[in-house]
Amino acid sequence: MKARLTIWMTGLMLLLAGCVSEEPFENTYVGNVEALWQLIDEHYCFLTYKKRTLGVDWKEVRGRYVFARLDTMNAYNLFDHCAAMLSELKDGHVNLYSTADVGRNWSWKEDYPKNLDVEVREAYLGTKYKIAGGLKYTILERSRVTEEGKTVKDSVGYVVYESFSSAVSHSGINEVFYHFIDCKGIILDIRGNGGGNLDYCDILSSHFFEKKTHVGYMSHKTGKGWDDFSSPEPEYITPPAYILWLRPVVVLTNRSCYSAANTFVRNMKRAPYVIVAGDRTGGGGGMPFNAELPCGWGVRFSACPEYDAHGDVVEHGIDPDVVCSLDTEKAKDGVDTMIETALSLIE
Amino acid sequence: MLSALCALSVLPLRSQVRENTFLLGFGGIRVQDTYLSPLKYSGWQLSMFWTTERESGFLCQVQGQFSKTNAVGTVMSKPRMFGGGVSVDAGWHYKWRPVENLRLTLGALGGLYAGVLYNENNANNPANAHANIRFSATVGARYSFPLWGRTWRVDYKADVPVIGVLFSPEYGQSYYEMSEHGMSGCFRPLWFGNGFNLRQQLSLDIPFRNFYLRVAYVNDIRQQSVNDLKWHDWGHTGMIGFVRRFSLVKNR
Repeated sequence: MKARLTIWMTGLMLLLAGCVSEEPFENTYVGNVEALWQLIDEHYCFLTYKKRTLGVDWKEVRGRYVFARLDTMNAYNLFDHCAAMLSELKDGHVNLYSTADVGRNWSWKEDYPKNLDVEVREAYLGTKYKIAGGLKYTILERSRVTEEGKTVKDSVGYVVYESFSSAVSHSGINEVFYHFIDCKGIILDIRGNGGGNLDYCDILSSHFFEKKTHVGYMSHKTGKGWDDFSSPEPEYITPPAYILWLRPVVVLTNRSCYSAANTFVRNMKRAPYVIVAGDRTGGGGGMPFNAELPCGWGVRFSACPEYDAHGDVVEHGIDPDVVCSLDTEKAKDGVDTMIETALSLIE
Repeated sequence: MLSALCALSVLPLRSQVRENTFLLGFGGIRVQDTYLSPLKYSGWQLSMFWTTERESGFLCQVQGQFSKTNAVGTVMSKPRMFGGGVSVDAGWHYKWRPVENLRLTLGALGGLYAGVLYNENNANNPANAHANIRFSATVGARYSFPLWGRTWRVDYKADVPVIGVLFSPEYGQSYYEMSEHGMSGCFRPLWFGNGFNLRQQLSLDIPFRNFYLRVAYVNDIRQQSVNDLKWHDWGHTGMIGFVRRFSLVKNR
């Protein structure tokens, strides 16, 4: 009797356990659109936020795209159709990848003034600038007349960081600061920086803090529901055992500052001696994840929301402390009015 | 000096019989990890298995495998995943012989598994780790029979993890966040309810001069369903190797 009970119990346990598997959608046109819609529905972290701020109702989107007439489409049309569905979210971290194209919505930068003339910026850097990893740097020297009528020469360090995908290191930043030892301040120009590696963001921002500082929060989805989130974990920046820059800093931003660059601005706004000047950043406050559709196309989407120190979502960008823009007429004469504004802020 | 050597020579000797097995294999594998992709993957795997078994019943086994898989059914591209893992288990089993040629074993193992899956399509979440510490039940049966003047053996063995602790990221948790904020919430109990795991092996031992050539079929079922994430790794492998039985003689 005992043996029979044991056999039944074991059988029951195996039946309960079974095979762990999840059936993907079929590789048909409808199956792929349905798979994409469901992927976003279950994994994308800003569906409630986008509904509240942009009025995007993802349930309603399903009706327009999944039940659209797909039988007349070819693969390219299907790609455009799927990309258009994702585009509803107006999120630069949401992309569709095939070997032929990348589906995207870059309205976060394309709908706004560029506020960057690369040639003019390069003229400020000159040709003798130094390079430490991803950082290009030089010293800008300006003569000015004091209230007493004396002419003095000011030196300001100028650093251009074009992408957080380019490596920075503590030792490299040390070298930059050592080069700027006689400078009154630093202009950190991250205009056009579309993001990259968050580790580099932490490394660079840590050199501008004199003590461990709370800069924001991060959370992640814990389930398939739109609002299934972990409790936000506070994020801190801790100054490293290297040279710290505790003099004035102006961070120059534009709408193309996205993702890790957006996080960098979030951090720097909490640093002492730092002023953020320029235009609002582009946003991208959700760390992305990747997944795949049955046809093999790749999908990227925001998965882990980031918040600033007040607990506000930074998905739609961060306002500067000082608003300034590029005067395109003056730019024709080689003057970058945003760099000039930054110089005047340091002076 | 001479008297000391004579004294040593009359000390009783203790013999420890061991049976060591080393196998290499190649086979098919089916993989799905919904942390990386909702798609199912299939491909091949290379595996290695080493075990040592003492007369006393002590047992230690190490298994390693590497796999390469492609997404199943995709037409427009063929995404690839690479995987690897190692498991180490040790324990004891009790042996008895209900009839002369049949040896049955039943025992318990304690061990761990650690593996990783890498999806080359994913830039932001390219890999996922799987790990567990577990206690397993192990059962086996060995039938020996004479053929062409030698003793051949047919062996069946199955290990089933019963209870333990497993690692899994939370549903949408990134490894960046884990590295920054720790891994609380990533360790869950392992039991039948969140994934039935099994390793079973059927083998034939062909006698040679002083060793057995072992030809085996191994079926590995590794899977878990926690934090709304599903992972399975089902392998069928043909293996070949040798079994050597020898004695360690220690002076007592």
